Amino acid sequence: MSAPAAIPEPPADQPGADRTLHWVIGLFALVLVIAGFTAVQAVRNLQRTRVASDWVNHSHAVVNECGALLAELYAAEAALRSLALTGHALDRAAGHQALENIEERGAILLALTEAEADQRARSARIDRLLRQRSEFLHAALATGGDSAQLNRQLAEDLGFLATREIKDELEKLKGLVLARLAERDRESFRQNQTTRATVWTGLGLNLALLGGVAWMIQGELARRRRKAAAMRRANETLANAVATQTAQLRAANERLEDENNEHRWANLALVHQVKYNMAIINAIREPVLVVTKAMNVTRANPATLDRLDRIEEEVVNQPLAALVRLAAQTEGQDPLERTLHQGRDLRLQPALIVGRRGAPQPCVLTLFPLRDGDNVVGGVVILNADESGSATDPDHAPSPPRP
Amino acid sequence: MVLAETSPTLADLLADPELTPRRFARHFEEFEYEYHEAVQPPETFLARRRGDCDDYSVLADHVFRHHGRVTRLVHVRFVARVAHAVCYIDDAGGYLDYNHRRYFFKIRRSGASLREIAERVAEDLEANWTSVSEFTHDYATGRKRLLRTVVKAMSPELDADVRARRNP
Repeated sequence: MSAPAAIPEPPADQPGADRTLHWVIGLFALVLVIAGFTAVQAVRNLQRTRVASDWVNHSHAVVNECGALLAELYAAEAALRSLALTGHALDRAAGHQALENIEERGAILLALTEAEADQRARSARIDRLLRQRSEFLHAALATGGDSAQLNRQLAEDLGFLATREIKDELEKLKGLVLARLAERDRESFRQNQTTRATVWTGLGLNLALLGGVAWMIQGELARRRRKAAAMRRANETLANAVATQTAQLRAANERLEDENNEHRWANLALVHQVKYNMAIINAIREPVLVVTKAMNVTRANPATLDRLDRIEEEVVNQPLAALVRLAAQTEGQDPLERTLHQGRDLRLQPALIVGRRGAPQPCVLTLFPLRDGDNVVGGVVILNADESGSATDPDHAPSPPRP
Repeated sequence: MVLAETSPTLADLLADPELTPRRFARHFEEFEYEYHEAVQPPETFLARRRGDCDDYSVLADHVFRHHGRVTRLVHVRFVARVAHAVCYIDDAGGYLDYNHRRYFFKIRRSGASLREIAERVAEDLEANWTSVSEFTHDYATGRKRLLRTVVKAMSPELDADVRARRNP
């Protein structure tokens, strides 16, 4: 199986990712602050504009009252002169009405000019002059039907001077009011300019900040897209590597399975062969034992069990010497074992079967080494019947016949 | 002169013990608007069924004073338009306005100060007011007298009626 393809590492997070988020939040907060400040300035300007509008209206009200006062004064003078000419009650009533209007408008003018000291002083003077003139006019209107007296009063009257003086004072008052109005208008204009600049600057700053935020977000999105693409490529490579490895593993698995099958079949063949061999060995009439190099019995055919009068468990894994030995006793290493180690045969040697009970039974032993290549791995012991009677147990040798 | 068909007389109004501001106003639902510089005598106004805010407010003030109510005549001045008069009735918490004679709600609720009354009248007329005065009118003499005047452009703390309440 070939080595798996190297899986590329995904791109590491850039340290600026969190910083971008902080910047975006900070910039939005700044946008909010600027928008709030701009809104406050705009609202304050609205309020100032309303106040300024009130003062404009107020100024025009003062100017109107000045004009109305003068008109009522002229009306009263005219009514008096008409009364002098006609003596008609309607003229007297008109005169009284005009004087009443003068009184009302004078009071209103005083109230309207209360806020400014110079205007207040001027309107107070106008009020004094009007009262003086009104006193004369009231008195003249009250003369009743005596037009001669009235004409005399009018002839002696320097009312035109008083009227002119009142008119001049009213004009001066109007001048003061209009000058003040012009000042306020200038202030209002400057405030509007400032507010306009503030609002536009705030708007421009906010647009720039929002542009910056958009740029940062766009950059962050691009970075995330690149990272996503790299992740996708890494995933694809990983998937390819996994697929390759899976294919390799599958192929290896198949080979292993084939090998296992072959081994299994070989084992089956061996088992079969062993069984077959065992069947052959078991079919042999002579006792046959298979021993290890250490002379331990590993196999015994049924003929052996019969001959030894033992069951299989008493034979297998037992040392051969416990079951059969050479009739000629020697000292030192067991000659069978020595022969086996030397890899030689030992044929037709007298031996004695160690019976379960009774005396050992003579037999003839043949030993063949078992080889695996050049190595002796065990031996095969065949026990034949002793027909010659050469195998005797010295301990159990039959007694010589009696003479 | 248009003769009145169903309008009450001044005596009727003065003699009605259960006269409320709403009932008073209902008498004028069919009246027409006609400007007069001077205030018309009440009988003339009621008989002709024509008049302006001064005629209506002064008559209301006269009638309800007779019935023992506390009333105030208020004159509100505007920018570039004719001034408007209303009759404020203290226990009603509002004023009678000739412009509202045909509405279901004939009493226009407002605060009691001159400034508040002026703000409400201006709101109804969609106009900016410049000054407002409390005045009295005497039918017998035909004379109108200003009691106190409040100017919009001045600080509300300096209003004449506020100062009067603080220093009675």
